[in-house]
Amino acid sequence: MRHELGRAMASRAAGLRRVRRLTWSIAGAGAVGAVVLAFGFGSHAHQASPPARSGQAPAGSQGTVGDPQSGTPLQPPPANPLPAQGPGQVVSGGS
Amino acid sequence: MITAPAAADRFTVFGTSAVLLVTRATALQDARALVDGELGAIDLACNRFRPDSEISILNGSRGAEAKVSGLFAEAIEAGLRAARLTAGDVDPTCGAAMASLGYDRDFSLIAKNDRVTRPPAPAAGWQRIGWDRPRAAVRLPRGAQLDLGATAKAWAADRCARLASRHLDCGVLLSLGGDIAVAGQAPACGWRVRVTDDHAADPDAPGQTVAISAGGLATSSVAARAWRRGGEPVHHIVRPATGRPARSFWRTVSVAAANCLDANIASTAAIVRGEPALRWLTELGLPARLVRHDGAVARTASWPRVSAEPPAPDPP
Repeated sequence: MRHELGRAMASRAAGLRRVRRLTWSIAGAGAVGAVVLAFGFGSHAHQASPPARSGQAPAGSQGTVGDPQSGTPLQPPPANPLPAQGPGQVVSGGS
Repeated sequence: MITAPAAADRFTVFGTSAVLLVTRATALQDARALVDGELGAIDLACNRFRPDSEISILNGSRGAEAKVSGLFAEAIEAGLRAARLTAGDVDPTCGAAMASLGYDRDFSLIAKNDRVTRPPAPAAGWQRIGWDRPRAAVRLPRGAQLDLGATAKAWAADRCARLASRHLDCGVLLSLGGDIAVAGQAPACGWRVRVTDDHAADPDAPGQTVAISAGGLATSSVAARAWRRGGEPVHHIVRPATGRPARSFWRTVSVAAANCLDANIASTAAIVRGEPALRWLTELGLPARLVRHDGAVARTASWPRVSAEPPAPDPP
């Protein structure tokens, strides 16, 4: 009787271990799936563009305008300003 | 080789003055037409003083999602780029802050010393903007007001200069209130730009003349677009965290960058950031000239020196 009880307890413990393993496996797979989905949606959001207005040239064809997702840092000019003499052809000041 | 700009056109737009220069005189009229068309579309999208503009409709959406045009989407993204790259020191959700300062109408119509009726309104926070780029759909937090004034002029100057240069195959410079974008082949000696406190100043006003050949140049200053409110002097560059005008270490900051938008983002953020901005601009490798309230001039290494300026502090 005691022997049968021991076997039943061992069997129950083994069953619980299997259930626990299965639960962790499902949870792990779920987590991996969530990461994959999030990455997929994120990439989609980064790559997609808003619809262009008819008759307009695509923006961002030069420079880095218009993609806040990219995090591209502020870019220096292709050539630094040079010293010049005399009045300006145009004025840059606060406005 | 192009030796000098061939033609210039000066006009008023967005409540400020604009200058259009082209390297081929016969292209000027067409360039102006292209610029006018583009600026008209941008005004309809971004002018918060027009009740029929997209931004006004969005600001009245009370937290509901709104679909926006491709053009307005780009303007929003320019504002978000500014916020992201400055950690929110330039924030497009400062609309309520500007309104609380009395800047809720065209600048020429602001009562120059009105009494204060609303307390300062800190920015709602750019990170709270719901921006669905694939659907071009935006949702503002309830009560938030978008104001793209910090970036829209510079972004518009970039667009217009590129558009005109590409269509007319010539060098183009466009200044919108001192936010300057250039595109195409510049004159041999570059475009001569006078940097000073106020874009409306004379071309030989105290400051410095530099020559640029590509990209953009922008200047932000607390000395311009300033008025009084409840007896206190205020200006248009707001610290988003407080909703109050920035108390800047610098009076005027000029920055050159790959395009006018980036130059403007950097110059505006430098005003908000104060003294540490010199190191920040240096680390970014941006040519910049920073003028203190006492007139002393600092510059990053890539900005050209002149000998006649007051002594400047060295970069930290």
